Amino acid sequence: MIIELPVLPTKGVGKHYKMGFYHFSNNNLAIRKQCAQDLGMYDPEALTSEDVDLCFRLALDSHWVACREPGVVIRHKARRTVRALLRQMWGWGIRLGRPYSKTGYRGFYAYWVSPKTHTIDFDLELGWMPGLTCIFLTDFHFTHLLAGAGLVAWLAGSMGLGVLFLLAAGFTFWRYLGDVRRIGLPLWSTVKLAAIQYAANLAFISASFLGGLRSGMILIPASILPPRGASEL
Amino acid sequence: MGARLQSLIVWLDRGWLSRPLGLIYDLGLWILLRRLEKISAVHSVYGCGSYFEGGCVHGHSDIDLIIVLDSSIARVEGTHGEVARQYDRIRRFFPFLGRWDEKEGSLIFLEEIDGGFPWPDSFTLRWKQGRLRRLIGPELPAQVPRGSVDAYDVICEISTLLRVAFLSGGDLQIRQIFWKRQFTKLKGLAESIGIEGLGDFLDAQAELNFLSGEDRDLFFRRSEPEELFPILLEAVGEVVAAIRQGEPAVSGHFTALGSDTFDIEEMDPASRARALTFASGVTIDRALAVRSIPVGLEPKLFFFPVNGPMTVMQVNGNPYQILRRLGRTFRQQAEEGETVAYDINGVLIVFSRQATYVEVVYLDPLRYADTYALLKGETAWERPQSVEEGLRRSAGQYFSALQGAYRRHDGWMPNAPYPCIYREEDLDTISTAFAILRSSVFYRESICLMSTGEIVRYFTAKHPEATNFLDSLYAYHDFLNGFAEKRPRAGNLFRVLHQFMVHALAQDEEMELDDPNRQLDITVGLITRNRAEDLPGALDSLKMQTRPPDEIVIVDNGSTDETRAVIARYEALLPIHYFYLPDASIPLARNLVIDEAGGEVIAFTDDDAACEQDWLASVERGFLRADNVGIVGGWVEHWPAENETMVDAYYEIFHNHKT
Repeated sequence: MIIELPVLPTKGVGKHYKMGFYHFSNNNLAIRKQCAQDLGMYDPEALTSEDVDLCFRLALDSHWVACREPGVVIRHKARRTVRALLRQMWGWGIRLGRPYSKTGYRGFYAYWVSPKTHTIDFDLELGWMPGLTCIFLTDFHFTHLLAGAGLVAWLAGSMGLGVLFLLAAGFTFWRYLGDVRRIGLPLWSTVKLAAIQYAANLAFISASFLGGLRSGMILIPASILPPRGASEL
Repeated sequence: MGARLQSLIVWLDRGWLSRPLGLIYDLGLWILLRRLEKISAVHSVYGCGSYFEGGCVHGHSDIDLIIVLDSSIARVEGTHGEVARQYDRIRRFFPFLGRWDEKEGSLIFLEEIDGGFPWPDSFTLRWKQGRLRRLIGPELPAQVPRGSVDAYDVICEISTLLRVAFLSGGDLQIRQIFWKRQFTKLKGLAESIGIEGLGDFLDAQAELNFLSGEDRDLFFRRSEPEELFPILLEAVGEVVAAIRQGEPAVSGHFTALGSDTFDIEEMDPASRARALTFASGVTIDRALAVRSIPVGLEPKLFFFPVNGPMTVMQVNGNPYQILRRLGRTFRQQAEEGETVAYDINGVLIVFSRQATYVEVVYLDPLRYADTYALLKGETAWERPQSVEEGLRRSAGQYFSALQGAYRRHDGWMPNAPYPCIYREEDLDTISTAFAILRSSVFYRESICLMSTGEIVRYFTAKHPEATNFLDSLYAYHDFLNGFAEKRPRAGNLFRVLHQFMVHALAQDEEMELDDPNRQLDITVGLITRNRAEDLPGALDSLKMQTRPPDEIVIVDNGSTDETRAVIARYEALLPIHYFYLPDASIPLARNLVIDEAGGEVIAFTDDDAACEQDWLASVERGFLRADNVGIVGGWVEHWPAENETMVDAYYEIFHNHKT
C-alpha cells in the first residue's frame, strides 16, 4: 500500500493524528462476516480504493478493531512494465479521495513526513476550516514547490532569487532521492530506479489530487516511502 | 526554559519585581487550568509544591500538577494524547509550567484506580500530608487512602527522591539549591515519621554548611555533586537504619530455593564479554550471574526476564561517578531490554535500557529486603512491620487489579486510535504473564520459581486440567525465543492465556478453559479475471496450508480465458465454490464472496499471489485473539520475476513487506 502513514508517532505518548489512518490491501485482508455486515460491506462506488474505504470505516468504528498478525504473509507478483506500473499508480490514486471524504471529517490537515525517519515531524490540524484538505508533505512536494517558485522569480526578472530557489529545490531533490541513494546500486541503475520512482510518484500524486477534487476535497498524499522495519515479520 | 533566561528570571526575582513575575506565573496557570477544564478527559487537577506552599523561586521552581483523568479514559487507548497536546500548546508561552513528560509521570487514571490498582505512592503521601490543593474539577470519587504517614510511604518517596537526584540533568545538579531541596525533603520525610536524628547528622557534615543559605543565592552557587550525592545516600542509610530500629521486624524465609550463583568467569565467553561491557569505566570487585528471581513482592519490576540469568556486579567507589559512567555506558551500548543490577557500596541499583531511555531504579533495603537476601544466597530476611504491611496491601491490590484487567481483555481488544491497527507483541504478552505468575506465587507462598519451566511445572501440578494449555504456552514461548523453528498451531492460545490468568490470580481450585486448539470456520475468498496462468500458483499455495481452508469461494469476474478450466482441475483437490460475475467490479465481487461464504471469517487473497504455509493458521490466530477483531492483515512480500527488470527492483525496494 502506498498512502501509508508512518507507524510511530513522533512526539508524545498516545499522540494521534486525526487523518492518521492505515489500511490493509485487499490481497491479504481477512474479515469477519459480522464485521463486514456491520460496516455496510464493500462500497461498490469505491473502485480500486474499496479496501482503503473499508479500513477507514473500521478505524472510525468504536467496536471493531484491526489487527496485524505475525505470520499472515503472502507473496505477490508485481507489474512487469513501467506502463503497467504507472497505470496501477494512477488507478490507486484516482479513487483515493472517496474514502477520505466519506469519513465526514472537515477541516484542514497538513502533515510533514520526515524523509529520514518516516515519522510525522510536523502537523497542523485545523478542524474549523471549511471543506476538507489533507496534505501529507515530503521532500518530493518541496522540490516542486521550490522549483516552481524559482521559475516564477526568474521569469519575473529576479534572477538572484530564482537561482536561490532552484538551489533549494536541488537540495530537497537530493534529499528526496535519499531513499534510492541509500540502496547503493551502480550509477546507471540508480538513475533508472530514480526515474521510475519519480514517474510513479508523479502518477500517484497527480491522480490523487485530481480524484480528490472529484470527491470534493483537496488531497495531496505523501510520496512513496520504502517500508521501514521489514524485520518486523 | 533556556538556562540563561532562567538565570535572568531568578536574578530578577527580588523586591517588588517578584510581584509581576508571580503574576505571570498565576496567569500561565490560570490559562492552563481553564483549558484543561474544557477537556472532558480531565477529571480534576491537584497542585502541590513550592508554588502553592510559598517559598517559590520564580525561574527555578516548576509548578507541580497532578492531573487526574476521567474513568472513561484508559491508558492503553491513548486518548489522553489530547491533554498532552493542549498542555504543550500553552507551555509554549509559559515554559515554567514544566515539561509534559514530568506531568505525564504523575498522571492518575481513575480507570485504573476503579480497577483496583493502588493510588500512586507519591500521591498517597502528599494526600496524607494534606499538601494537595484541588485546583479544578470535582472531589475524587474513589476512596483515597487516609491515615497518618508511615514508614512504607516514606521509603517509597525516598526511592523517588534518590532517583530524581541522580537522573536530573547536570545543569540542575551543579546548583546548590538543587541539593538543598533534596536534603530538606529527606529531612522532612524523616521527621514526618518521628525520626529526629537526621538533623544532627546533616549538621555534622561540613560540606552541607550551605543548607542555611537563601534559596535565590544558592541558585547561583556551584555545588559538587560528587561530594553531595554520597552524603545523600549516607543520609538515606541513616533513615533506613532508624526505621529498622524504631519498629518491630517481621521475618520471612523462602520455602523453596534452588539458587545458583556463579561467578561470571564461568559463563560462556560470548555472554561473559557482553556482561562485562556494562562494567566499562568502573572497577568491578565481583561479577555474578544469578538465576533470575522475582524482584519485590509487588508485580511491578519486570526488568529481568524469567529465564535469566541476571547479572549482578559489585562496585566500590564514589557512587555519583559510578552512576554517571554506568548511565553513559547504558545509553551508548545497551540494547533495549538489557538489564544489570549493581551493588554499589552495598546499595542495589538496577539499570535497564528501555526503548528511548535508561531506567534506573534504586532498590531500598527495606521493601527489597528479600532481594538483598536472595542475592547474598540467604533464605531468610526481615522487614519493619509497617513496610511489610504496606507492601502486602499494595501487592494484594495489584494482583486483584491485574485479575480484573485480564478478565476485561478476555475476548476484547481495546480500540487504539492511532495508528488504528493493533498489534500484539506476543513475546511481551507471554513474558509478562510468566512474570506475574511467578510474582503471585512468591507473594502468596514465598516460593521462588526460577524459570518458565519451573512455573509451568508448578501450575501443571496444581491444575492438571490446564496441562494442555500450559504445554502449548511453553512451546510457543520457546518458538518466540528462537528455540523452535516451526510456529506451533495453538491458535486460541492468547484467549486461553487470559482465562488462565484470571483463574490463577483468583486462586480458583478448578479451572475452566477454552480449548487452545479451537478452530473457526474460515472461507478463503479469491477474485479472478483472466489470469489463468497465475491462478495455479495461488491455488497450490492454498493446498499447502498447514491449516487447510474449510471452503474456497472463487468469483470469476468475467474471465474470457482458460480460467474456468484451471479451476475445474482443482475442484477435486480443494473445497471450491465457483461463481461467475460477468460485470467487472471488484467491490461487488468481494461482496458476493462475503454473502456466499459459509465461514464466519473470510480471508481474501489474490489470483497473482501465493500464501505462505502458515498464512491461514495465522489468520485464524488473529481472529481468535478477541471477539471484536474485525479485520486481520499482515505483510505482502514482493515475488520477484524470473528475469528481473528495473520495475521489479522498484517493487522490491518500495513495496516489499507492505500491506
